Amino acid sequence: MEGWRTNRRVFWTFFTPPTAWLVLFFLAPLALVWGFSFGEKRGLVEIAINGTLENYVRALDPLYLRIFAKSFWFAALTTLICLAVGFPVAIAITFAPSRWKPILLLLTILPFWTNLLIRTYALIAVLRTRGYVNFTAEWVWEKTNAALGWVGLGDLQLVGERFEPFQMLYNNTAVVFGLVYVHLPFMVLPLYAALDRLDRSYLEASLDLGAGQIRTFASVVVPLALPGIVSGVIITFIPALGSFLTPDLLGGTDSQMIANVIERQFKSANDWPFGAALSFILMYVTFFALALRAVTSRGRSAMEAA
Amino acid sequence: MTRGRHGIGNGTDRGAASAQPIIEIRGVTKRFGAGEPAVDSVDLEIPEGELFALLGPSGCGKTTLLRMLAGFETPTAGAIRIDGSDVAGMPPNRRPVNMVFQSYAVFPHMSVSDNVAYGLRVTGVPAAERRERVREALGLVRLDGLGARKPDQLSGGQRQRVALARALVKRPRVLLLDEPLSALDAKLREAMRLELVNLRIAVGITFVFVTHDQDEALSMADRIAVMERGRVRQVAEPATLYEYPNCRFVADFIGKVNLFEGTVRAAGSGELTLEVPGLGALRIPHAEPVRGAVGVAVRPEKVRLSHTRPDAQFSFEATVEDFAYYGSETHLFLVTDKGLRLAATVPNSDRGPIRIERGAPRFVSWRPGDTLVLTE
Repeated sequence: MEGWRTNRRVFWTFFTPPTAWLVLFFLAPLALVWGFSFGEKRGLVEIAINGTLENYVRALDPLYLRIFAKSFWFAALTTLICLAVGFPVAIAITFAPSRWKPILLLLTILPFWTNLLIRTYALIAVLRTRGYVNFTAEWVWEKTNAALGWVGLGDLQLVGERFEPFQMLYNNTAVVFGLVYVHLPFMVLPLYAALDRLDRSYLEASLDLGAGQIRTFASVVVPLALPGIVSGVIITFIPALGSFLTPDLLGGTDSQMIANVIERQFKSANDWPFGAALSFILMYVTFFALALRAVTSRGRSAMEAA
Repeated sequence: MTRGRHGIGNGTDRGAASAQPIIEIRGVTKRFGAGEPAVDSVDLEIPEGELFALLGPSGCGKTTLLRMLAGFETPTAGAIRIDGSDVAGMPPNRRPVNMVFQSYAVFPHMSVSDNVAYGLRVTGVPAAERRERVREALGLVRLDGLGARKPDQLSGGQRQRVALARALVKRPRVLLLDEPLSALDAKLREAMRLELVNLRIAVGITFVFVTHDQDEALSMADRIAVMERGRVRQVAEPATLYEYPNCRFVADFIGKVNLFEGTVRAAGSGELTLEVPGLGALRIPHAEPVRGAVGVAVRPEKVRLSHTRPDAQFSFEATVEDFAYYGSETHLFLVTDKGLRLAATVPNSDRGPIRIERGAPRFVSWRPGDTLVLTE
């Protein structure tokens, strides 16, 4: 019986609940915030939506534009590092023996089982001045110093008079490091999905035709895995762009990202209209990037179909 | 790479093969983990210019053997020499062989021309020569004018031609083909058999192809190696393989056969006397004196039927149990008076209604010399 496919009652029964959910809990609040972005703060909790563009004008202040630019730079750098690190990982999982694959994939998503806040604090414990990296470095320093003393070079202070711990936290490097750590699985998974689908005979054909491994990677693997690369870049870049916890906890005074500013508008500054405007600028840019991707991929498939 | 040394189009006759085989396989074994080896101490020599088939059921090791020639698998033991040099440790991209994959593996993101040019580009062949050779290769496989197409705009048969052109443009000493016709539909497959044979003659190089289809191997190959469970059972020309199989497996795998188990009662002076349960005693000419239990086989088309007792050395009474009409021939399934079943194929060379019916008694006979005695 195909009747249920065209039965209106069946259609509405299945269509209504998710649609109602989406409208009530996603579109309506979003519309409200969008409305706030054209509003004005009147008193402590009162907001008058009067169609003003003042919030957007204020958002275009060089101060905020710089933070936008910095956020894009952090997100782009994070995406690039994730791609460079994630590709070898995805390749390793793809070519691992089949009984190892589920374990390796599990290890890739294992960090998701722990709260982001806890993972970030763990990272602080590793990187801080009295953290595990510095403990290790200090141990190496002591042993080196002792060894130098033993061979009679102790007086030359070749490795410095005192151990200087590395300052790894509360700067831009720490933020990008943290963002890479958090977002790497988002890159590895789509890359793995694309590579695993790739027919091995394409790689063998390339080798058979005289190409080396590097040439095969550049001319066959990358172009054929391109959909996975694009997906990985998008789903790494977008959440990285909107991060606020990582720059908040790992960054210095100079490393705040746009989401930190937005958070501050909604919480401590209590300026919802301005926060809403900043949020929507971020969203417009994201939509624009996604639309660009959709248009280019449609263009490509239209070209292939022609 | 010197142009035209074994370039496309300057056909060399396969009679002119040099004394040294282009491929020498010595005691090659390949194991994947524990258990039976995929390829088990195989020895083969393939002379230059031959169209050689590796034939066997799935899992017999024929594809593994081909992949060892291409360099995608490493033999566990034994040696492979291609064009006189040991290829152990030589990666696929340095071997003087090219492969046509079963799935064709035509790069979907490149045009037909770019696919064919790929192997030349990666080895730094200058652009002008590249264009000329691509044009030549596409002409050879009759794809002229389709260079700008993308693979998804081609039919299965055309994609195969791209794969062939892409391999041949490299001017390999040996072309390896993995089940080259299996992905084509039946009609196209027939046509492509002849075309591959003609292509080999045109380019004059050695073709080694893998197939599980005995008709394909018989109709195309100069010589065939029949493989079973990793071992080569027989290497021979198609007619020899069919008429003189050396074991039960080959007799059964190549063509149809009536295979009985019998015992040798007496041997000597170029004759054997066989005892086959259900048939009785058969006296047949046979050069080698063999003893003990043997397989006794006869091809269905060698079986003769008559209404009256024939004037033959031996004949049996049988009744038609079933028959199937195939247009050019009729297949009969008979059962002898002693309960032995056998098949016979009779050509329908006379036009007119056939007079075969179930239950009809017939006399069955064949020439003693058509009896196959199989010791293995």
